[in-house]
Order: sequence, then C-alpha cells, then structure tokens
Amino acid sequence: MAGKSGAEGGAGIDPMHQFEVHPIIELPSIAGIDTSFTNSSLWMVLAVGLASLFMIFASRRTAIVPGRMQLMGEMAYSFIANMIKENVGTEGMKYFPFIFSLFMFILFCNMLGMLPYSFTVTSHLIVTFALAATVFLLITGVGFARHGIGFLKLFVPSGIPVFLLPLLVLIEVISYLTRPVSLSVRLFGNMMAGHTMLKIFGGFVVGLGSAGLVPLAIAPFALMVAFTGLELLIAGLQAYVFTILTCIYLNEAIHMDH
Amino acid sequence: MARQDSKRDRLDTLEKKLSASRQRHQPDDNQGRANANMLGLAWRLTVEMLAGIGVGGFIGWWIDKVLGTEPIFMLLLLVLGMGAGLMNSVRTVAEMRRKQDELDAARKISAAADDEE
Repeated sequence: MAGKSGAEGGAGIDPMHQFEVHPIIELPSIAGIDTSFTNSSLWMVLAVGLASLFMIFASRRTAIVPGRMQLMGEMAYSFIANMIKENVGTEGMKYFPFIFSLFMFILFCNMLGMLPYSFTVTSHLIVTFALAATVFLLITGVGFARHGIGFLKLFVPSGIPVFLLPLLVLIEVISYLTRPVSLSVRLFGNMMAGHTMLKIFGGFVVGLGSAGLVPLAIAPFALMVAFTGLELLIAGLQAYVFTILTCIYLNEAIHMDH
Repeated sequence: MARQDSKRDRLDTLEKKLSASRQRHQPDDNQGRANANMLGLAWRLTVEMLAGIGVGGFIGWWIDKVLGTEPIFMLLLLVLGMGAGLMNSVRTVAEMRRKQDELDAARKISAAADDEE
C-alpha cells in the first residue's frame, strides 16, 4: 500500500480513490443496466480464476503423503467441512459445494484486495449485499422446501402469552429480514474502513516524508505495517464470519430451532 | 445399541479432551484470536442493532409510501426494528456464551483427566 500511495504523490491523496469503479471494456447497456466490464468485474474474475487454479493444482496429484499444495487444499476443505458438521450436522454436507465456493470467493477477494494497486471487490456494499441476498434467498428456499408452510413457525416463539404474540411475530419477521443487511454491512464495513485507514496512514508517511520530516514519518509507517498485518487478519476473519453465519442460518432453516 | 452409544460417548469425550489440550498448547495464538474475536463481536453487535433500525425504518417508509399514511408506519416499524436489532444482539451474545461454557466444560474434563494420570 505504501508504494501505491507514493505513486500518487504528496499532499493531494484521496483515500477514497481506491474504491472508484471504472469500466475497462465499454459495453452497451441492456434495458438500462450498464453491462461494461469494470475493474470490479476484473478482480472478481481474477478471484474466481485464482481460487479455481488453487484447487485444481491442490488436487492435481493426490498422494497419501500430501505435498504443499495438496495440504493447503485439504486444509481448506476440512476447515469448511468441519464448520458445516459442527454447525449444521451431517445433513448440511449436501450444501458443502455452495458454502465452500462462497468462502473461497470472499477469501480470495479480500486477500487480492490487500495487494498494492488492486481493487477490493468486497469493499462495495452492492457486491456484499448481492452475496448476502443470495444466501438469504437460498436458505429461505431450503427452509420452505424442507418444512413447507410449517417453516413460518420459525417466526412464532414458544411460551409467550397470546396478547404479546402479534408484536413478537412482527419483531421476529423484521429480525429475519435484517439478516442479509447485517451480513453484508459487516463485510463491507470491515473491508472499506480498513482500506481507508491504510490509505490515510500511507498519506501521512508520504506527506511527512516529502515535507522533509523523514524521522517523523517513521511513526505512521510503523503503524501502517501493524495495520497491514491486522488487515490481513480481518480479511481472513471476515470471510470466516460470513461463512459461519451462513452455516448458522442454514442450520436454523434445516432444524428449525433457535 | 447401548454399547455403541457408550463408545460414541467415549469418542466424544476424547474429542473434547483433544481439542482442549490443543487449545492449552497454543496459548499465544489463542490470545490473538481471542482479541480478534472480541473485535469481531463488537462489530457484530453494532451492525446487528443498526441493521434492525435500518430495515424496520425502510419497511415502514415503504408501507407509508404505498398507503399514503406518512409517517405512522415508519415510526411504528422503526421502534419494532430497534426491538428486532436488540433481540438479534441478545441472541448473538447468548450463543457466544453457550460456546464459551462448552469450551470451559471441555477444559475441566481434560484437566480432570490429567489429574488422574
């Protein structure tokens, strides 16, 4: 990130510039929707491509004593498989392909965003909201497919006096509808806040450095190194949180218990 | 059947002991992860409450727009949204607590087993 800020020069650093979406290949709009291939699309394609390459290489030569790549692939597999078994149970393994793809996509998007000059796809609310809405619709679909109309019992808490019931059902329904929002805002907020902070500290380093106050620039530089480490942690952690919450919601849809 | 159950029970206890002992042998890693978890929890609760208010307000605003009854439903659902957000947060904390208790129980089992040896 330091190199990135440096390239843009001293005082006029715009920490939000990194989030700008611009088209790479202009395409005509279809029914009012701009279908241009943007930098956002490019980094999504890269994330999908690299995640696929990673898994293909990991499973190319399977040995009983795994090599480095195979070990990493197996670790990713068993990490998600254990998460599903713990949170949903063995029935949940039916949904393993979806949850694994979701995790790998978010993880690769977050990690690619840590590269200098890259674009962080998950720092845009609409992207994370699309992911969360997909999860939400799918899980609601699973719930209705499994329990039919009985899935609505999820909104009726037990052991509540009758006169309070309408109020609580309303609150339950709203609480159910907040899920895609909280899921997406959490990922988006973490990614955007972290990257903005890195950019601002990078701006301090370059600003102080070019003003001839190089010894003073050491402090924000040290902070930035620490923040980069923290950001790497958050990038992994947020992919994990998104996935585990998907598992928890899936468990609720399958077993219908709070 | 009974024998199989007891075998499964023993396997479960073994699994718990193993995970607890793994945890005890990586104290440094755990400390960092615990801090990250607290940060994550703080974020989760904040977002949960804000999302409740936001979604409630939005649904109310939309109902008002359709029915032309501004601002009754927006105010009503704003309050209900706050309730929903609060309920989600309470549930999140209860869930975290349950997990922590399970972990503590597992630790106790493994400590007791260590004493026996």
